[in-house]
Amino acid sequence: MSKIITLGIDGHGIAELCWDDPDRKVNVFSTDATEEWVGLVDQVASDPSVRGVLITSGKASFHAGADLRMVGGFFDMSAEDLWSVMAPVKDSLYRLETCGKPVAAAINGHCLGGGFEMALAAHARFAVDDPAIKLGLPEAGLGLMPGFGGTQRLARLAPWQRVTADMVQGVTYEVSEARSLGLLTDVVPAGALRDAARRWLLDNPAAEQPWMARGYRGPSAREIERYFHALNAGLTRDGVIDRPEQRLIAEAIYHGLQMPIEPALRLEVRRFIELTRNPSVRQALQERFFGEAA
Amino acid sequence: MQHVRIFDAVRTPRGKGKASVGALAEFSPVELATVPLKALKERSNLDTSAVGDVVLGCVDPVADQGGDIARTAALEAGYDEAVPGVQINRFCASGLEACAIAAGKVASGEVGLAVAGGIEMMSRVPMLSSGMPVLADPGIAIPRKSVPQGISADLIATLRGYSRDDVDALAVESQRRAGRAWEEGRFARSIVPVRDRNGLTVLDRDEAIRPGADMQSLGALNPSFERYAKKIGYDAVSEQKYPEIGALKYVHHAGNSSQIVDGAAAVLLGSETAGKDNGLTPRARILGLASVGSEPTIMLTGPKAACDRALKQAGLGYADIDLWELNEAFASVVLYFQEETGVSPDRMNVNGGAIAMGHPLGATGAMILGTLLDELERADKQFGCATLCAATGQAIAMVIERMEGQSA
Repeated sequence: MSKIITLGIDGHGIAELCWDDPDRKVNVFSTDATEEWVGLVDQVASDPSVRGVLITSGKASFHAGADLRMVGGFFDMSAEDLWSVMAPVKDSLYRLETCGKPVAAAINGHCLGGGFEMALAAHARFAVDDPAIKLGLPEAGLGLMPGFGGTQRLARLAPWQRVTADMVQGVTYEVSEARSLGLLTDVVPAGALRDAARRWLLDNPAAEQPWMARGYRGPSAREIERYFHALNAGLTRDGVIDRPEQRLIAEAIYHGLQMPIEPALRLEVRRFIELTRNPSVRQALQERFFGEAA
Repeated sequence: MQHVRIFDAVRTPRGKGKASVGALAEFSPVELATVPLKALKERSNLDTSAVGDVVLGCVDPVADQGGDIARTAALEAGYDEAVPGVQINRFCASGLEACAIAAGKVASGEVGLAVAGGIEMMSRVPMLSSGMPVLADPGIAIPRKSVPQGISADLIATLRGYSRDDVDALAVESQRRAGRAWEEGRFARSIVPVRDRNGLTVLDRDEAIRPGADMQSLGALNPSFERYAKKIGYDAVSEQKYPEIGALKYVHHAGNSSQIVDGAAAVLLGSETAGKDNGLTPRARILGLASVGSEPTIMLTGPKAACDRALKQAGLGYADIDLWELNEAFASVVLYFQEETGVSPDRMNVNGGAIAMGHPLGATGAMILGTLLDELERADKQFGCATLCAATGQAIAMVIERMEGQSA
């Protein structure tokens, strides 16, 4: 029944979830795509014949994140209704990374926002060696914040001070930078992308996220405190009062890093919903993207 | 000494203290502490500038529980910025000690109204995070023959011959009573559901409770402290201190010890005059309170001494007290107190305790005071006593008299 994401399972039990929205130039988490995604994750996670999951794109880019029209609609929804939109995505990404099967993303082009968050829930990310490709979480630059776990997974995967600063400012990365931050398993020529990711899946049947591994330790409370003292002062100096998304991103990371991933993911969704309760955020978004006055 | 009034008492439901599964684990300690503070303000339509101090118990006041969480929580709860706050620690007695300190401030005339209570997010700041030199410092621990509380609890059971069945039966009853209390809405007056900033309910019921627990399910649990005690030598340490008991018997486990949880509570206290000035109706008055120290290795037998003193102040005897709340730190603590004082189990922890609902260390004392007050009103009784044992042999007790329906 899927139209936006197709599922194919090969003879080795590798399930490929290929994003290729027939009605759009780029892949986005629209309402329909989100529903398909949640259903397909459930399917590949529970199907015993599936031994690994490969996320690919049929477009020139990998994934552009959340559909901004859908996000615009979030401002009209009750907190309860918005929770019921966000929570299934949160749960599906958590299920994917904890289902006991390796998951890899084959990043052939731009991988941004919710698309990057989806890739962060994979155990491995392979990207094409192309300096034009951008990866990361630009939400803050749009007055928004990540809501599909990006603040929590990125801060656990890469040097957390550096990526916290980047998330707060909405900075994205080129492939080489993403690789040096430890965000990419490997960088390969375009023609070798799919095979590299597939081979990794077959070679790593017991993949788990580093932050779920026994003995994983996040940064100490003291390190976190020191960093955030300076971040708070700097953001205040630079006018964070008019940038609620910056404060909420910082808050989600500050607290999220001090707890396991499960409550941290809920915490991020709550901060995201909080952001959409803010009329000034709504107005800025409408003016910027839809040319509408609120 | 004038009798300090209690005008209101509230608490959050208690969330499981394991961060990966507990519903409240995503909250910050400050945010959780604001929940009862805001509720007190809203329920009494309180002008917070009349509050002279906010005293909060917290046993591990480090990281996000540190930095004087009482003041931070008062500010974040929207209290007038003129209201100061102080965090205190008397281990497990902290929540009630906060109320005792606040009562002292009222009685001395320093303040007219005070808010007291406690907060502990054990999921976020694990037990012992703020250090415990009595166990860690060789110059203290070795000569004192210090042991952790769980060993002390087993020591009491061994000393008094409490069997595994004895302690498990008490735990089953705690679960049954807590389940019944929830079913009958007995906590309704005190419970403030925890909501996120968007108004979504995160927890509205004690999360750790297991009303279906029975002797069989508890019987399947392994003792919590045996392997550790034998491995590192605490068994020998306690036997050296109490040679008459022989080998330690390990009867306590996760099901008959207080559960690790997150929670916060607050109580509004004040003088008769301040109550009238602020349009508050007293629900109870404090007749006696006492904190004591006792032998620190067995550690958990102090409540009787504390109750003796508090009752003496109140001019009452054990038989005069209609309802008792003794914190269920461990099942043996309750059995020991009942045996020492003759207080009937029918009058004690009638709505269950920390074995069923959990023990958020710094908050529990204020929680059980509220539970006691609610039950005095519901059961139409007059006198109640709340008491807790605490680490290093300390204990606290507070005797109150219900005043519902009276003007002052």
